[in-house]
Amino acid sequence: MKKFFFALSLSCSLVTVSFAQDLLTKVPSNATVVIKYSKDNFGKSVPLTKLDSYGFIRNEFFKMLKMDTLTSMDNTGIDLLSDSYQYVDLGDSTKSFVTLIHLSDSSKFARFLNPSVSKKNKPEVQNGFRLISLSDETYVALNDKIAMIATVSYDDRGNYYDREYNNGSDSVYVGSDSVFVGDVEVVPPPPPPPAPKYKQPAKQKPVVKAAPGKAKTKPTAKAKPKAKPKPPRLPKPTLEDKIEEVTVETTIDGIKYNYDDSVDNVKREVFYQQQEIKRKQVQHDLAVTTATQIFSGNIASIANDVSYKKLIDPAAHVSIWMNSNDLVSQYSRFFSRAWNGSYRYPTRFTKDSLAGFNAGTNVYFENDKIRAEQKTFSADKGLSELGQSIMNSKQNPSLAGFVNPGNIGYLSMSVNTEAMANYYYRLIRQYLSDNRYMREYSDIVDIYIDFLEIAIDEKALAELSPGNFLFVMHDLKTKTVTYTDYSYDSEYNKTETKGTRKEISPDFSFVMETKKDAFMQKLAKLPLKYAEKEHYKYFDRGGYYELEMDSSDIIGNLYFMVKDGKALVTTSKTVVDLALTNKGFELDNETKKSILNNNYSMKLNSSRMLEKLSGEFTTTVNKKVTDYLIDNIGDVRMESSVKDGMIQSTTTMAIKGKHNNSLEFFFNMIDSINDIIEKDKQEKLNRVD
Amino acid sequence: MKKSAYILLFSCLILFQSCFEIIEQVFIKNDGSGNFQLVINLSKSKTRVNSIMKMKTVNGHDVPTKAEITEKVAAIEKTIAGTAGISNVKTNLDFTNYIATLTCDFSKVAQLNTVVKNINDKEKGKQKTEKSFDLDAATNVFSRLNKFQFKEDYNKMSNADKEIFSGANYTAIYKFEKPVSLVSNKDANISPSKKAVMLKLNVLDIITNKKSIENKITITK
Repeated sequence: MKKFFFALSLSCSLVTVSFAQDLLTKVPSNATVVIKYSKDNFGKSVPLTKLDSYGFIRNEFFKMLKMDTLTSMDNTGIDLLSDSYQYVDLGDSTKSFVTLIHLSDSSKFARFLNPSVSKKNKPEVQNGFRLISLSDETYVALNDKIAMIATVSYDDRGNYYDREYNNGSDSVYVGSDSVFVGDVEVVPPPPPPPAPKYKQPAKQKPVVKAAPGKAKTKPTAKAKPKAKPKPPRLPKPTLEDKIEEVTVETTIDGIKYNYDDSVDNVKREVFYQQQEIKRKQVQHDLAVTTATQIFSGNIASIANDVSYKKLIDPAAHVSIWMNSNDLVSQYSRFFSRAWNGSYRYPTRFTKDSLAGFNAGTNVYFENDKIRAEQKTFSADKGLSELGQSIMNSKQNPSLAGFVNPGNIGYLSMSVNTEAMANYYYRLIRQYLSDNRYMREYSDIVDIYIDFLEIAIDEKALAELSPGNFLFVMHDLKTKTVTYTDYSYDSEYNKTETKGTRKEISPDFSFVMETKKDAFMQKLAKLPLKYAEKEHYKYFDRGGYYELEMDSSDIIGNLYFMVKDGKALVTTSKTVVDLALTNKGFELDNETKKSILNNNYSMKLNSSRMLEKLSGEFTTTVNKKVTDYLIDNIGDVRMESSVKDGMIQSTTTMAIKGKHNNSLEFFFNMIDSINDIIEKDKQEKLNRVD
Repeated sequence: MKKSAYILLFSCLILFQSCFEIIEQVFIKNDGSGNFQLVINLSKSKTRVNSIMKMKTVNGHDVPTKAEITEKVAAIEKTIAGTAGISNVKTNLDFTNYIATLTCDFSKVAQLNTVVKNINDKEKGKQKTEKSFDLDAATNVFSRLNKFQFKEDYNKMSNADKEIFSGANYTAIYKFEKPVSLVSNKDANISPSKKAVMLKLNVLDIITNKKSIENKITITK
């Protein structure tokens, strides 16, 4: 079912392209993550007919969706000319992943869902929509125009031992979810009118089964019983009734068949069955609530959110908006519960206390590359300024000289470490103040952090490492390694032989700027004294230090050097020699500009890296996939700096080969790799046969 | 710095397969006594093993130190030496080439089964340890049996763990004082003198039950 839901959501998202009613107005403002699949992009870049022609879509995707391979995506009833959205809504104990799509034909869509709908789960007609349950976690709600597909989960299971032995009540923790508070349903559905409590008639109650050997009682009357008057219609059982039923049934079964079990085991089993019923009920109610909000239009939409407007570009093919506050809170909740071993403990942090950053990523599938623009924004002016002050740094031009032409890749980083230290003070202060157990002592925390600020000399730290770093993977060289093997004569007498093989040995440099040369020199010299005692080979080579590695080590020797405000660790003697003579590599203007004008600059020559690694891939399928990627993937680049008062990054991946655009490349790549793997599987099967 | 460099590099290295070889050699005299040798040769993967040995965990498994390996092998040696009928037990650990060797003499083939059982019991192994070796004096048939089943365990392994076996080989050599007349395993070869039998298989084929190490070798009377 998960696979089906995933495939369904993805198909709804991938093939959509505009107008009609903008579904963004149906995305709630408290969503944690919002993904938009925009108009005119997919349809223009990869027409539906092309999409239908991909083998992996026909063979894998359709299979997951339980569609026959002769059907087209057009027959799903989904309006393929409209934007679609996905969003994540995280509550204290609930999670919803919702996909919103337009429908071109709701009957076709319902038929398309049919194979996945259990006969037990009849559609529920709600106010303005039909709700179809695909499983306890997956629900589809639809009217004639739109559909909502939601996967929901409730994770506030009670801990039996906590309740039994620590007097923890099942209703102690009152979450802030809109759907469920403790054991009491809040919204929706509205509370039912007062009605007599549902009780199973005595005859229908779970019957204690006859003991082994005892004759079963059979109805004795042969005559057809008189038509009984219809029993009065009983109200729908409430959650408490369901729980009661389970309690009775399990208790009877438990006592009857598990004499050896302790009463405690039976009680525990009953308890967890109750929790399971509760989970299903809450999930159902959550789906109804979500659908009601969407279909009634009574919703505070993210469309009016300042950060959403600022971060999301309507022209992007795909855009992702994230509320990092909620994600941080969610992590905290997860670890807090894992630490306490219980879902019942209150979370350590309050939801809205971490006023942080929101992030947006806009993805564009251009003709020659995939481009992702990421922006980070905080409505909190102080935090925004703090973030920008961290980026208030310029890369040291002398570091750029370590980037050799034809390298495999590099990462340059330039941040203001002093500002970073100040940011951490704020973060720690906020972290501790938001902690449920520490909030009472926030004044002490405040003094403690103030003391830390006094005790730690962030200016001195910034001098030791002002924040300029560079890592370069110069090359992936090969190293000849000897190994022991055995050869056998005609009588299978074993003789030890020596062989050699080539192994990949990375050639890299890491360099950081420092204003504390003397301290770094001391640090580099320190291992000399202990080399003999610790059995490693570390030498002073005059101007630099050399750590000799064993022949069986993957990397060659390591060199350490501190000179002219730079601390260097490298495997390259060439780099050492250049540094000793105050020289550097000749760098092309584009790379130089990228390194010096950005806080972060990264480049990865993907095809060169894959070419170097290709010798390591021994299976045919891996070799074929590698060859395909070498021919089709270009350089990956990333740059990040402050623009328009926001931290902005641009990541691109160039494409090669015969593709009309990068979106088509994306589908072609999946299809080709899938094809290679499937053919390999088939060949293996044929060999076995 | 040395260690952090390894951590940095290892993440990509574990993606690639490694090679190792297991060599089992049994020499059986006419009176049923003989010599057993087991060699585990990781030399072809020594750079990778060397890197792994510098780490604490790999693929979620704890990496034993050289001292721990030495201690474990010494314990196994002690267990074998304590088995009745087993003598001259020797182990050798070569941490430069990553080759481990175990040799011992036995007075009866059946004692090798006791050795396997004792080690399995000591290590609390889950495998059934019935007969692994048998010499039927009446028919003069030496049998290499295999009751060990790894397929289920292998299927449960992560892909990274499975990769370890993709380049591994198993070699079995059985030598006799009298010529061999018949071998049951079609992958086994008989030497020109007919006094030695060799079986070379891919470990993955054995684990997945595509090939078997079982063999019934008929020795001329």
